[in-house]
Amino acid sequence: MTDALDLIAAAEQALREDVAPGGPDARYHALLAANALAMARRELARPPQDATADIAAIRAGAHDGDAGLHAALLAAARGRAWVADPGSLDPADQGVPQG
Amino acid sequence: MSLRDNPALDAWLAGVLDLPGARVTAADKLSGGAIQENWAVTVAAGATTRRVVIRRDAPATIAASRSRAEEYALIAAAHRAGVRVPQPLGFCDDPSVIGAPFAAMAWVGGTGYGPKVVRDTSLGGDRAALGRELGRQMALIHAIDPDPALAAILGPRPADPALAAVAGLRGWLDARPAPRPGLEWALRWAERHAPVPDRVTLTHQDFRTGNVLVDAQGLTAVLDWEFAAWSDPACDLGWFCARCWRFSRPDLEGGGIAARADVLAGYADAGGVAPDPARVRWWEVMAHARWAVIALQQGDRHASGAERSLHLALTGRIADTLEYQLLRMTAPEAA
Repeated sequence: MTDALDLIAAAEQALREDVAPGGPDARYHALLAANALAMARRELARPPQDATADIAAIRAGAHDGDAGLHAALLAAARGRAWVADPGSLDPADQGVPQG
Repeated sequence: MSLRDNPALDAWLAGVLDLPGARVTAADKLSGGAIQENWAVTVAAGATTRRVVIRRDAPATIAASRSRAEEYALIAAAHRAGVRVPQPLGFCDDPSVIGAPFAAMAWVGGTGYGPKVVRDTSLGGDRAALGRELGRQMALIHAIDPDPALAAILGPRPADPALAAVAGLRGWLDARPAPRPGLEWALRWAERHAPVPDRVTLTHQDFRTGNVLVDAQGLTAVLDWEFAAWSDPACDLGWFCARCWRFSRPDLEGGGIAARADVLAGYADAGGVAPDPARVRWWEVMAHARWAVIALQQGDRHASGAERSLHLALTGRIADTLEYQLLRMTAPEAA
């Protein structure tokens, strides 16, 4: 949740400081703020589930070929990628994310 | 420190431009400098005017970025080798002139913004020809034989650039506040599938759509030399062709601009040794990992409070889409 709140706070600041005064870049900053708010909205609507793993074990090769871990990491990444940019997902993964 | 009404800067520019009495009559900050500030400066002396770009460090820099002085030496070497770069005019290491050391280069026209270059086909001239030209530029860079001064900047050649790249990204991840198991998975895959060491050359390390300028006719400049280093020449081809740098045209594997074959043809025509396609594909996977870590570093600058910026916060989120792509590219079935 704190990540979404941070995005909202940053968008709020940008609206006050970069958009409201006008100027040649105001439209750019407005679209940036809208993008951040949409991201925060998706994150609050479907909070991504984190996948945890032992970094040292991955580096040491203990999870080489571990299809279960890969599937868990991919599911978590899919959820976060959907928050960041639904259009970045493969067509088969678009729409409502699982998990 | 102002670039206008600055007698020290005026005197320095008068010297490097050989333009007695020169003074800055206009200075506009250019967009697109996360690592450095770029200023478009007009210098006038009598009836003569010259347009110059001045680059100095931004308040915050990222881990892999070279100093402005080192970057200037690289651009000068590239210029001597015939690479299409802005003409280097001079480097000022006296921080009292404008507050930080800076480089001056001739102003070059053109559009750089990657999404626009990909989308607007009125730019860049014939796209297949532009793809070949970009391949040719990479071959020219990889053929540069650094003189002793540049070699000192570059340091020792890595014996195994692929594994060195994996280790480097792990080091960057270790320096971050939180672990990223998805990226760790991808880097372990990369370690297991790394190509055997072969040629090591000077490489640009950020040669991609978005870092080249084009006008209606074609290429006008190759920019952003601050990451240049010894590596496998295939790393530049992989970075350029990586899906994450094709913007709205993922079908055009040559940077969203042309076919991959066009880029490779231009590379070979200019004397480049075309690498094994699998080697380039491996560097494309690494391109996603490297961009993901750089994006995270930029997001960290915002999150840590070092530089509060919505743009940096959103850049950090790009890592999430890159990690998703990486995990798809490194599935156990692909082992």
